[in-house]
Amino acid sequence: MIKNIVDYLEITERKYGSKTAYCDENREITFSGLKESALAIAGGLLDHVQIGTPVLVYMNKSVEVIEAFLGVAYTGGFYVPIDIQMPYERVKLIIDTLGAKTLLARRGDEIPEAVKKDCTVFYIEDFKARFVVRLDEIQARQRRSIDTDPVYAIFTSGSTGVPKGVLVSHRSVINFTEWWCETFEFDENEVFANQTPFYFDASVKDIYATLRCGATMHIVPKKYFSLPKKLVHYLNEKRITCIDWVPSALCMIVNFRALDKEKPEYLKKVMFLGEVMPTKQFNMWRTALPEVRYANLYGPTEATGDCTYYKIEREFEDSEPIPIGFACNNTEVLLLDGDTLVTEKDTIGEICVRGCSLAHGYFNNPEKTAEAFVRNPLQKNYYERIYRTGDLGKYNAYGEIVFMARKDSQIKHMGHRIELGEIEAALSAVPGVRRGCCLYEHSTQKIVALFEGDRDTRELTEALKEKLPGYMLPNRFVALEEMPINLNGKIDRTLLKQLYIKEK
Amino acid sequence: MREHILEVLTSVRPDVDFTRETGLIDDSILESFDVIQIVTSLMDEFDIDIDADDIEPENLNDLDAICALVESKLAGR
Repeated sequence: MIKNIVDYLEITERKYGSKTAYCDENREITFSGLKESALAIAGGLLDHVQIGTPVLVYMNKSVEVIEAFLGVAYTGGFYVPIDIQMPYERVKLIIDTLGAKTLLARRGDEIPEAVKKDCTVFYIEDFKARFVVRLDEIQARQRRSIDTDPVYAIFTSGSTGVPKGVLVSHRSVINFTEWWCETFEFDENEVFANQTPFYFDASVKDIYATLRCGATMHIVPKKYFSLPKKLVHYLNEKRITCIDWVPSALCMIVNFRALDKEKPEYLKKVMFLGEVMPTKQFNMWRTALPEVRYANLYGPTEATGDCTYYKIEREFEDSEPIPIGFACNNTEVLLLDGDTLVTEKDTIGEICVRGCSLAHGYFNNPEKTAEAFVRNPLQKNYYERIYRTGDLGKYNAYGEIVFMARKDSQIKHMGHRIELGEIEAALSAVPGVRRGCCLYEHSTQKIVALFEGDRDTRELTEALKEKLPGYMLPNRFVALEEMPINLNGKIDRTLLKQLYIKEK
Repeated sequence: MREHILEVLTSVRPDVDFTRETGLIDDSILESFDVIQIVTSLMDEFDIDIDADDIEPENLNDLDAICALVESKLAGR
């Protein structure tokens, strides 16, 4: 039975061992090679990791990261992918939340000295070089592990300034992967081009569909996402058949008319995820490549992969939003207004999810877990959990779910999920800043920071860089004499929006 | 105009000193989506058309190259 993601590796390796599994700019690996590396890594880690304990994977995006993920999975521990560009202060918050002691790295990637003090650093090259077969011990560990054991924790922005670690089980990933491969008919001939960073749960999809089906996945070099012509050429060179990318990447290709110069010849499936796909740019894709099958996918990290999907078949006006569609098989989506179920069309409710796709919650954070993972108010007779996404949606005339807005101040900026509160917490902590507030200007895709205090843009940016990843840095700073306060004594965001935010 | 362009660049990446860097693309100083945001902002601000053929490292590696790109587009309008 399939209870751990390494079971996918075992089965696929027996069938397609010599087939290329994952490739990056420098290297490619077969399923047999991957199994060998993963076992070697597991052998090295076995004495340092237990079932349910974390291993940080601190590496530049590469084939090695996947070797590391599977190596950790063999030990029964869970992996935590860390963005190597993340400022140390934020990495430290993650290490402290996890109580992490073990870190996997690659020789050649730079590791801050401070991290070495927090964790024991192991290099996967060392494990692979002194390959000790500990198959019996690994198998014994696997026998003890169960499918509800965690496979990874992915950290997302937290509104109080501390990132939250979404802890996901093997069961959830297997459940998702089975649905995903069946619905989009993946097999060993599929060739994926991976765009999403490995520290996002979106990458789980490409990685495990490849593992499950014996397909091939190419890690697209990051720089191609700023060079539209080269990117399209790359798709042809690698004979890519399926892409599952954030809308920013897909829009960039058509906005600069790259499809007029060269058409992706092998591409059959195009999916978008992570944020709203603008219908205008979608129509440009469809006009250029009418034979391709398109799907819109929706789902928060807390519900593993996707919880709704929409295969686009009918025509859409540029002004009409593309629905997020219907719940994935073995997942139920409920629209709730408070504790009441919304069933009539055009009535807004919060998108809530029920099923084994739900994460365990946020690691070592019972308060935040209890806020979002709650008892199903519609099921009085036994305990059942649902996840409240904080996203608002409604049913349209076709009975499809349409995403409307966020309930809170979470934003999607260039595919990244950001709590404005996390930026505010960092901004307010800068010496010389008395009060800070962050808003998002959707029309220009800019993060706007408003503050009371005597600091200039450069000083603020320098200070924030120490705490926040690059994609969270405000694009515009506005110095205010005094922060406007509303009747409740809180920052008057409505007024600030009217004064400083331009929406078309 | 150089000042205006600098303003556009800085609004996308306030943490980069565009007057000094010479390998914005080659040294991966700009993230991929930054480049796209910069090009889009330049198109809006100067009402010019930039397409996939222009988005090459040699046109975007430093402030001088970016100014030259904008000027050539303005001249060809």
